[in-house]
Amino acid sequence: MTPFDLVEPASLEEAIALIDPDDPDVRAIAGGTALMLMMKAGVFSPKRLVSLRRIGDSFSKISTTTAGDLVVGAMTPLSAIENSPEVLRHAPVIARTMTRLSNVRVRNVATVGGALAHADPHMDLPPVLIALGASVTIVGPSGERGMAVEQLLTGYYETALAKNELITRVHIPALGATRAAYFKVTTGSADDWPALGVAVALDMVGSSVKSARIVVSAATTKATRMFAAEKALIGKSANDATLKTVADAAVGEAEILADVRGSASYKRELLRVYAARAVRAAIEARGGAHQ
Amino acid sequence: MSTAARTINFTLNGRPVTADVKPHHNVVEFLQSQFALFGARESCGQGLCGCCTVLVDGKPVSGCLYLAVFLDGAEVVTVENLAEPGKLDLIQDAFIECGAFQCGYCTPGFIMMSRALLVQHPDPDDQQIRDYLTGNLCRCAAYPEIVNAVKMAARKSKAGSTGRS
Amino acid sequence: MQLGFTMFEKVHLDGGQVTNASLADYKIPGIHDVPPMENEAVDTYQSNGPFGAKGVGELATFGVSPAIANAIDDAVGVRLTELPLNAEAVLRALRAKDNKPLGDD
Repeated sequence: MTPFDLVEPASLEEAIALIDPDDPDVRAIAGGTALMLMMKAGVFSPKRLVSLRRIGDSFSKISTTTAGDLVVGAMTPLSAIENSPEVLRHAPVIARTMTRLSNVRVRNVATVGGALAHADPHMDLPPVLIALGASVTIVGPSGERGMAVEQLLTGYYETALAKNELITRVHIPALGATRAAYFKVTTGSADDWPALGVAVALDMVGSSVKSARIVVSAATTKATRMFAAEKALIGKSANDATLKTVADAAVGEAEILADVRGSASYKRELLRVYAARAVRAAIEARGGAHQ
Repeated sequence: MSTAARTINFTLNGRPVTADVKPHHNVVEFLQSQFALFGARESCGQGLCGCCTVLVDGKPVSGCLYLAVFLDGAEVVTVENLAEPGKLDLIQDAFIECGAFQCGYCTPGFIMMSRALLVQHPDPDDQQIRDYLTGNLCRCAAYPEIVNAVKMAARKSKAGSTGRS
Repeated sequence: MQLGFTMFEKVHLDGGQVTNASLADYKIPGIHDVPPMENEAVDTYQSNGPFGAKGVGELATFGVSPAIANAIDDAVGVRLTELPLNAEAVLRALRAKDNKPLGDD
């Protein structure tokens, strides 16, 4: 890596003030696992990194609001989310997603805020958070604003964040009877990055689907909602014929990209299979659990 | 703006130390160049293979993806400290007894991860072992023997067997 | 090692440049990928080896790829002749056999 300066502010305000929005060579660093990869590959050569570690303690709590929303501080390491009884109770799909997300060492260091701000489409958490209707609190020089995770991710490694804005918290709404599932699909070894990710969250009335969110990631430029597939599912009972329509709709609308993990044609076939499996897994999940 | 070295204080293998470190140096470079500790070595350089595993405040991290400046104030343990000089810890013993390696390049990383695993799950089943070690690569594919070694170490640890410091 | 060559390992080239030159994109088997194995020694005599001896290391790798290719043929009736024998290769062969070839994109 090329040499850089590292500053360690003691407050959020100081951190934001240290990030020059007009200088692309200055960036915030949280856990740093993803940023280190970019720096080692020479894709990013910063002049200065603003470390958020000194202020990490104030932004790494997991709590539940009186309304039943789960609030996770942006600096919470993924392993803390994985091992949190509160997360397991509130959204078991998140706890389950963690076991196949990267590896123990990365989960010990990488943070949930970093995973969102990095906006790598291969990350496992963003599609799950979008399916669950999660949002983030963002702080910048002019104050605080909220935004759905769905709106935060705008493209391939691109977010709606201004250069000097930082994510402070992630909010996951009370899920009630919502059931959810996530499938990480790998085509190489089991520990590979996903070739495809499919997250589904839905509510049922009797045997029919009342509402649904279906999100595709990894094979697309960003975690993306499949609106046509959702429409094909809502109001229906999830029999084989419905699931086929849902899967075909997802394949029709997803903009699938080829890479070393598979051709676009093959990933579309994976989506056809896993969209149906994920919907079924969500329906069969009890109490919000999955798989 | 300064890319110059700064001074950090931390505990290394039980001993308080002070060292100068440049902001862009990672933990592997730092431990090798300043402390002649070569047990953690960089292999894939991407946090995928586990050869650079060190424990920071009890938690395993990839030294290749961890800036050395972030060790300031931390407690760091490397494979060199698992047992007194000339002795082996019971996980190391179990790896030898089970033949859990061929070339041995990945072994320090597997042993450090197994140490952390057994703290979290003192009596792990096969699935827990495989899930925990999924980020460690062994090109010789000694995985079945590694799983056996971890289970043997767990049994011995439970039985209160000696062999480690 | 040969299981990796057989199932996953492929060097991707673009104009002579390797495009997956890292363990992030060139995947080798991990702990979830190696099945239980049994070893069996078969007595043999190598006439040109010292005392009839023969190397044991990599000889054992030769059988892995054909064994898996045979298993695929036995299971779904397609004969793959190019490594790696991954799921996409199997699906492509099946679809070609059905005259519904998978697209090239």
